[in-house]
Amino acid sequence: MARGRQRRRIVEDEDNEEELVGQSGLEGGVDTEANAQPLVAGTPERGDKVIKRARQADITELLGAYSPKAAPGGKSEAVSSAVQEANGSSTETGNAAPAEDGDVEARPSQTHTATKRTCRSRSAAVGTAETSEADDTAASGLFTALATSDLEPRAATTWSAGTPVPYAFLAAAFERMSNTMSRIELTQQLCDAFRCIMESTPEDLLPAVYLVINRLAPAHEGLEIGVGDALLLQALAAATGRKLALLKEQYRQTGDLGDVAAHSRTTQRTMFSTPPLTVRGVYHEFLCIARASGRAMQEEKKRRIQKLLVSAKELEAKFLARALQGKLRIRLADKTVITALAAAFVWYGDAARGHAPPAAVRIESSTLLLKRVYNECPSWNRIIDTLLQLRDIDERLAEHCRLTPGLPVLPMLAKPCKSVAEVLTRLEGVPFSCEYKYDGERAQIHRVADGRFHIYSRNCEDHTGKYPDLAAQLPRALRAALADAQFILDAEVVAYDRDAKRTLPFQQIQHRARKNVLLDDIKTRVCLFAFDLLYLDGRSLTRCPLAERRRLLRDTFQVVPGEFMFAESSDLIDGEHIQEFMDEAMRHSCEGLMVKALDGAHSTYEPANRTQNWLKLKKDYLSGVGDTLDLVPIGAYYGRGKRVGWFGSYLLACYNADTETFEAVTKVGTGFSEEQLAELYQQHSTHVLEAPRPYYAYSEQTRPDVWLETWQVWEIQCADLSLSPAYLAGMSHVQEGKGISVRFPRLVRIRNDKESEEATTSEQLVEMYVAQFQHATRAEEEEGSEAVTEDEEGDA
Amino acid sequence: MFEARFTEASLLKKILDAIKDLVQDANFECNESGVALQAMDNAHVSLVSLLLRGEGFDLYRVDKPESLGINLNSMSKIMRCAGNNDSVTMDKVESADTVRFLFESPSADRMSEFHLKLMDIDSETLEIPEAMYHAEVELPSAELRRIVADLVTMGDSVRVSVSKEGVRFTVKGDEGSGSVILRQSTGVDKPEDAIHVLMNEPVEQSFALKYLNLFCKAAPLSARVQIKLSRDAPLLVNYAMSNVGHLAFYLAPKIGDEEDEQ
Repeated sequence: MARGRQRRRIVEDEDNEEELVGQSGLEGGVDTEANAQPLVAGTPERGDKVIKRARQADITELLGAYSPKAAPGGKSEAVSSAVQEANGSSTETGNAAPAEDGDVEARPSQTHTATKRTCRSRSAAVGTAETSEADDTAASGLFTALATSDLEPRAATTWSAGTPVPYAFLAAAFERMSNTMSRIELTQQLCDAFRCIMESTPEDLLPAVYLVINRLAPAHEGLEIGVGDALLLQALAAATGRKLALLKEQYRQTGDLGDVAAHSRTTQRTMFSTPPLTVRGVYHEFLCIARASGRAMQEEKKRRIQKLLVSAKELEAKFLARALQGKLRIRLADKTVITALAAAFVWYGDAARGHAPPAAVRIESSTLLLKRVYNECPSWNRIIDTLLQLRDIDERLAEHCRLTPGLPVLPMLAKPCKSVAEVLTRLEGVPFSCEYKYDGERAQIHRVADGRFHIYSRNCEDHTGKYPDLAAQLPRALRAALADAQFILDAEVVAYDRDAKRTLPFQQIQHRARKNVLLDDIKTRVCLFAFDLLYLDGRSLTRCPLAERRRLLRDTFQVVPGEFMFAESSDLIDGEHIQEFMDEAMRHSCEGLMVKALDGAHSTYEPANRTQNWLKLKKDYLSGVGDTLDLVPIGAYYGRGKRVGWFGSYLLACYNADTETFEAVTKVGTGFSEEQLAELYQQHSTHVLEAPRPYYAYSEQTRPDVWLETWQVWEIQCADLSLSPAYLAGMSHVQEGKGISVRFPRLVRIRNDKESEEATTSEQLVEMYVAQFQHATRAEEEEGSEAVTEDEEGDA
Repeated sequence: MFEARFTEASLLKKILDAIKDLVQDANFECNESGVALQAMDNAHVSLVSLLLRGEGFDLYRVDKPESLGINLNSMSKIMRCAGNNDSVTMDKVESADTVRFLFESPSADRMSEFHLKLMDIDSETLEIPEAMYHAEVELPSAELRRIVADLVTMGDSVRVSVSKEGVRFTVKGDEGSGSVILRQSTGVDKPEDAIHVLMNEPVEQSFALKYLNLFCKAAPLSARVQIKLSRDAPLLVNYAMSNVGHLAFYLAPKIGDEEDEQ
């Protein structure tokens, strides 16, 4: 498993959730603290669709202000329009345009309506994490459901208070959840499980949470179970006395080690019945397995796994095997876990005070709080510890769990943009700044209390050992008055030629070892291009506008040529200048530009979020689709003609993080050289499956000649995205019965740096598809309606 | 204070060789009557039970019962440093967190000393069921070792059946099948080769050969080995060490037909 791979962005998109909540049609959370202004949108055809809109006073306060009610059959559309409406802070009426011909038509036109209005209202497209808001908007039914429960935690526990929680309890909950289709029910079940644990044995909550998210520790600790299928199968054979070959065969047939383990009726008695597994015991064993090192590492891992499996009953074995494999398959995104945990703590706190069931709004605001806190302090150890001590969830949590040097957060990300015009439209009316987008590696640099520097990658992996040169250079960059400052810096590490005073391609440093690099061995120098400051001497700056953060950055650091520089920036706002600046960036071998909101409520730093407040403009984007896609080959077709003897084309899939499935997107047969075809055939021939994995989603008409394991990621360039009934990526999210596919795909390169679960997600595809339509419509609009254009210019 | 001395290191070496592949860590329980060790393998399929009686030692002294948690692999490394004829003294003072091994050559001109760190091993007290055995077989340990070594090449499990005709070991594998039968024999010429089969009721059970193969590593400890079987209970394989104690292995049977394994 790749490090940090499991960390999903929390606030980003969960289309399924929208869907499910939409279906429930529940209403709630209308009267919250946000300034809700009810506004009806809709045509006679969709008269029962109501969208309430809110002023975007503080985007984080917004939750619960919306209450979309889905029209039968038009649910995804209702939600999608809510998404779009949420972008704007306008209090005006938004008219959902009539849909002449189904949802596909309706979406862009609604989008377009929203865009026009938001342009006028100046805060325009600069929504903070608007996707998540839309989710939350639609999720009010979820919170109402979470506020309704007749669970009596004490009565529901089979173990006595204070004693270790049996692992069987968690395994049974996992099984129930894996059979639950509704996201609301799933969250409720998880919330109930958490409540049972915290009421009876609170000290088991942390291990339980880690087992639920199937991680062992905060990402930067780099602890992973790291057990391969082969080892697991061996341990299973040893634990059950069954034949390895038979287990292998079953695994090949079912594709799920969990099922193989669950159905491995043991053929071997044991001397004594083994004590039941406990949640803390399993977590502890997982930790030991992850920490095993040295010569006998594999042997020790196997021994420990075997021990666990011997004590495991059916369901326990199933989820142990899956957890060890790193695939629980219970569709628990971080977001669901956070919601369930927040709700559980609201109940917990209220129960302690003897209150009646909590209000949905409290669960809602607590969820938002927990999300925010987790993004800034991604350590469950610290958060759960604090929550248990508080015995409640409120703002005190944020005071205890803050951004801290030494605990890396996921960096803020940018949305890809295709053209300068698009940048201008999206950031209409907002002061913004352009920065060079350097061809390097993102680095988050922490200076901790003892004066040492820690360097973390984009995935919060510890890269301190990779860049000893940076740690040596940094003290020179600190201004004398602030020589001892503690800080968190966001920057790009770039290979640099100090003699020629120019940056070098990233490949120069790409192959550096991850740790234990010695200063003397370093040939290629690196220069740090700093662009953001998140924390300075006890103060988190994430809520400050970019302009202020940048000022503090420059007050704290000084340029040391070739070692530490500030990312080249320009605060010019008109299109021509952006183009010029872009060309200049290209001449300096940069990838393109980053465009960021500079001031105001939307220019805060949002860890872990990909928002409209940061846009990236890359040269490759200027043609074709906004970004290349990273897809996973899951099948292959035998070649004909010149390609006889090889695979002629491959079936590619994106990853649905929510359902943990690989959904077919397209076939690709171009972009290969002959050598590559031969090489790929050789490589993939050893990864052929007899049957598709149960977590492959495909349609019969695209059934490949052979099925492949998901072990490689390919970067694919395409002309644009299209809808197709033959491909199941984001099925029915945009239009009923159709998934998203791409046109004219070609292979760009093999992404050896990515694991299959890091492929483009179906949510991203849906988002890109929608965005594509937005732009198309907008472009037409700009040509067609001068009045609007003038209006917009006037506002700018 | 705990102190125990063997005249010959070879005995301890043989014991370790016989159990270290089954059990990684174990507690040596030392009290007035002697040293005992009981531990199960990871899969909880087999159980090792070692008893070294106090009077079997050259010198034996326990002031207060002690439990020495030892990694057998580490102990085995240390024991390899002893000559076969060296005497071995193990001792530990009450507060120490190590146990000392002292090796002395027969001529007393070479002495070596090693300290082994002790570990905390939680062990359940294992109540070994004193079953009424339906059948007992006593045979040369070399014979059992040979049978198991032969059969393990053919398959994963062996069916052991005791009937009037004797004891039969049957194996089925992918390539074929085979069986060995041993009949009662008094060993007129060589009593140590005698095979005694005592049957109260016929018994037939399957066992994993992998474990039996490991048990047979104890053959050097004793010329004779005892096998006791009863229906639906673990098999007992016992190596008696005259005057010293015994090393016994218990093995839980395989269950079910292996139709799905074929």
